[in-house]
Amino acid sequence: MLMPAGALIVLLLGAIAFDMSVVFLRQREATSLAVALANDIATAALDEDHFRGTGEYRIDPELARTYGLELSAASDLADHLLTVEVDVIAADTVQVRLQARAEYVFARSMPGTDDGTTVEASATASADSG
Amino acid sequence: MSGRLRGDGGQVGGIEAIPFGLLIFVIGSLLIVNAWGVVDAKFATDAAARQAARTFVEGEGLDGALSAAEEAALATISGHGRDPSRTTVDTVGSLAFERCARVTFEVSYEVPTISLPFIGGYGSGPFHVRSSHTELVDPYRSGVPGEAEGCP
Repeated sequence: MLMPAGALIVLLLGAIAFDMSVVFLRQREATSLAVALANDIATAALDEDHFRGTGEYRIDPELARTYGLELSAASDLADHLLTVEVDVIAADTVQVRLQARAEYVFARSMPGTDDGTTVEASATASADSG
Repeated sequence: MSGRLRGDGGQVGGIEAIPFGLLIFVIGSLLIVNAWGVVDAKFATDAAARQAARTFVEGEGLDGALSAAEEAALATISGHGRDPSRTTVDTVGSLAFERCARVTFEVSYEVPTISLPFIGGYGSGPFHVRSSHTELVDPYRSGVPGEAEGCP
């Protein structure tokens, strides 16, 4: 009876490795989205009135959040996103932090295990003249 | 015909479980290999869609940017050790190369699957693994047509 048990253990380990790779894939997707959002918002959310009045580059925090929500809702990952936070951490710098849900494939069928896990990603972008 | 190792007197009950265990192992391994092929392709399409969108928004002119984006996507697929001939690169929605334009690239890759005994296949035909990525054309970059005033 050890032979089938051994085979099942090997398959179980393979399933765990597979589920971890799914989590890693979701982590990469989340990071990719955070980078794209930060890059877009750093320029698109310019406070234009302030810029025309003073010549100083400044990101509008409210506009940045609006862009963050709009662009993330249009992304491939939209159905798995839990939170999207957009913070203007300097006049020309924006930070995007997001959380996404990663669903396990094999572990769901095992009793006593979670259906998935939460991954986090963050990215920072600064507008640069030149 | 009696002699050493000729009889079955010492044979244990349940020996038939060994080939059954092997069968489970082989089928289970093929299932995981099949599923891994899809995840691995998803890694490649995800990276390809991202590269296509970034290359487009940093390109010069609509036609040049579009062909550069497609080349970048196929090169990324190839770089992941996948076959570019199984890859489709499409744009989603209207495509414009102007300030604040939102461009979405979708990369699709065909992954062949194996039909497994007991478990069956994963439906009909090969898997089509898809990834898409969206970027904005920089509103204040030089050399881009249109006006930033029109940005939402």
